[in-house]
Amino acid sequence: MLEDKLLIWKFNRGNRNALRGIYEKHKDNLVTLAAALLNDVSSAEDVVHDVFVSFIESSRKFRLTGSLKGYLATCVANKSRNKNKAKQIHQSITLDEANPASANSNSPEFRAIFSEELRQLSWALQQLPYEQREVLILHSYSGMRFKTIAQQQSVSINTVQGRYRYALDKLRSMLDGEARK
Amino acid sequence: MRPADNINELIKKLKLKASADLDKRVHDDIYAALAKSQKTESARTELNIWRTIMKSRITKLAAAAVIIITVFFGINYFGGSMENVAFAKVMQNIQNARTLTYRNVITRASQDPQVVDTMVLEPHLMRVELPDGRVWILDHGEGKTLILDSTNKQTIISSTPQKALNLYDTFRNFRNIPDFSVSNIGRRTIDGVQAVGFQLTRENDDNVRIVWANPRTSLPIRIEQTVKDENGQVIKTVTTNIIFDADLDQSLFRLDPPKGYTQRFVDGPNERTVKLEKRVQSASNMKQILLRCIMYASDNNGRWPDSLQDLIQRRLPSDILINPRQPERENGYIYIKPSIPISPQQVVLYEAHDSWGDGINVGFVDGHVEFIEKESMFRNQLKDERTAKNMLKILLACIVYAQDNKGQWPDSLQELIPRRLARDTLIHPRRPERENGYIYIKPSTPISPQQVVLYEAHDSWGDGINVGYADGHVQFIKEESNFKNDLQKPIEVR
Repeated sequence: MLEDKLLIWKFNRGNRNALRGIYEKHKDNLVTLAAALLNDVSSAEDVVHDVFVSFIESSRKFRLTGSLKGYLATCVANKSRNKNKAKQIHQSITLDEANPASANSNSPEFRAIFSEELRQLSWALQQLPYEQREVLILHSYSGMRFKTIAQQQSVSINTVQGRYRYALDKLRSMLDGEARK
Repeated sequence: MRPADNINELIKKLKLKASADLDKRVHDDIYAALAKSQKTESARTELNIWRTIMKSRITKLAAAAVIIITVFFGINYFGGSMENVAFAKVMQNIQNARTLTYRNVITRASQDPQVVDTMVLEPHLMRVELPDGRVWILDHGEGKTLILDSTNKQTIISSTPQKALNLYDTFRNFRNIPDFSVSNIGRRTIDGVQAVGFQLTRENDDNVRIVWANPRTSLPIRIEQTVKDENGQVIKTVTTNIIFDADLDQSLFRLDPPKGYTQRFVDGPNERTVKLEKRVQSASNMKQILLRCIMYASDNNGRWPDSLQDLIQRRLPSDILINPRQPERENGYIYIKPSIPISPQQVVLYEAHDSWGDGINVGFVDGHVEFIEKESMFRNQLKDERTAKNMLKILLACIVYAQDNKGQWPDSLQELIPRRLARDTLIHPRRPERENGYIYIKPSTPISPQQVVLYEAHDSWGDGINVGYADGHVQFIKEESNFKNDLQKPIEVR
């Protein structure tokens, strides 16, 4: 937290190394978050790139009120949601030609990166509706509170908690099923 | 345990690494965006300065003079040169390098050239292979140095970074050159490649630095430097075989001694180690205090706390204010609230002490802490800061006086006292025995902004003096000849 405050202080004054420091510190977590939301490493990197471009542009006026990690995670979640919506529209237009499995947990990049157990999890996450997956990942991976997620998604806290419970139940049943096979 | 039993734990294990491609994209954007914003910022600052200038009749005249001179000589005063743009790309590549390998050929007067191979793993690690077979490994992050002597199967470990290695750290040195200007010195074929040469120069600096870069890749292929060391000895260094982002094994930079090697610690017996630990602990306390100050300033429109007690109220643990080197003192550190405008080298914190000993930790306004060994250096730094601040106050009082008196500056500084200036401002902190610590030269009209109007009274030149100009800025001038030139400069008003 202290370190982030210092980085932001330097960042506001146009210090390039501070920006690099922020990027180096958070990049892996953000790429993982976006990849878990989008099931696609390449799109995830595009999202993180877009987030940092916007962040850089805000350099002099940016003010940190909460944690930097939380702020960046929110930005990534918002961009991922937009990207997912755009992807859905695109897929509904070109449904016949599209190859929806072009990047998924069985793709070579995921196979190379994750262990068997994590690949199963990644596959199961993909089966969840986007809203449920988003709540689960933001809460469990990024440590975001339900209240914050609710504000972000413009829904009630009960809805968010409901989505979280559904997501966990579905994942449990899917992973149990896989484990029994 | 089945995976479903602990999904949350499993989710936390997800870990992807950002690709090198993403790194490059983001780093390029950072560089481009900041370069753009700096340009805008400087234009904005220029505009503000312009507004300030145009408010005053006297500075209006000065500004008119500058415009005439600029037009007359055809200088594009506000523009950037092509050299700067092209060299910026080279510097960008240097800044973005993750690893570097290069060969330095170092020549000192009356000595044979020394060939040294260096590897750098950013941001902290460096390995230097000397011609006698010894290898030096330096970790800037940990502040450690390891010397591997394979002939005698011996390692020497030092818990301080060895200054001697700075000579080989070509690119770190490059990144740290402040305020240099660049000129293009033409093309030359180097190893079959048509290279473009850039010469880097600094004001009052005789050192020569030339970078030859491949115009196609914007990567440096040869660097030539002629610099003087602390003793005035000339050292010529030619850097070649420069390879960017090669795969370097982390094991090349290991700081633990290999098996079968004896170990020697150059930092001496235990007491010295304990002493050093306390020194480091105190520096760490000071960094914490400075961090809190910076956070305080960030929450209070750039205003720093009035005293360190303000930080205690903001939950700074009070034991951090106790210096482990002198635990008996209630207040282990002296805080100096920085005045505005803040310069990065301003001292804001230092260890309270009765006697100097081997040195003290000193904290600067940008949050870094340095151990200063020479007391005179520290005292002079404090006094120089006060001198420059006093001179700024005097210049400001003169300018305000001129605004109130139809552009006429005061005949003497005494006219400013006491309405516009406190009497003790005229006392020079380094030479309090002098009645008049500063020499004032009333500027003749029309005024040129670069006219010297104030300088420190002095009997001998020493390491330099602070000089105040008619546009209200104060500059420290090292060379007496430069000062004399400024004094004798004709007033360039047409």
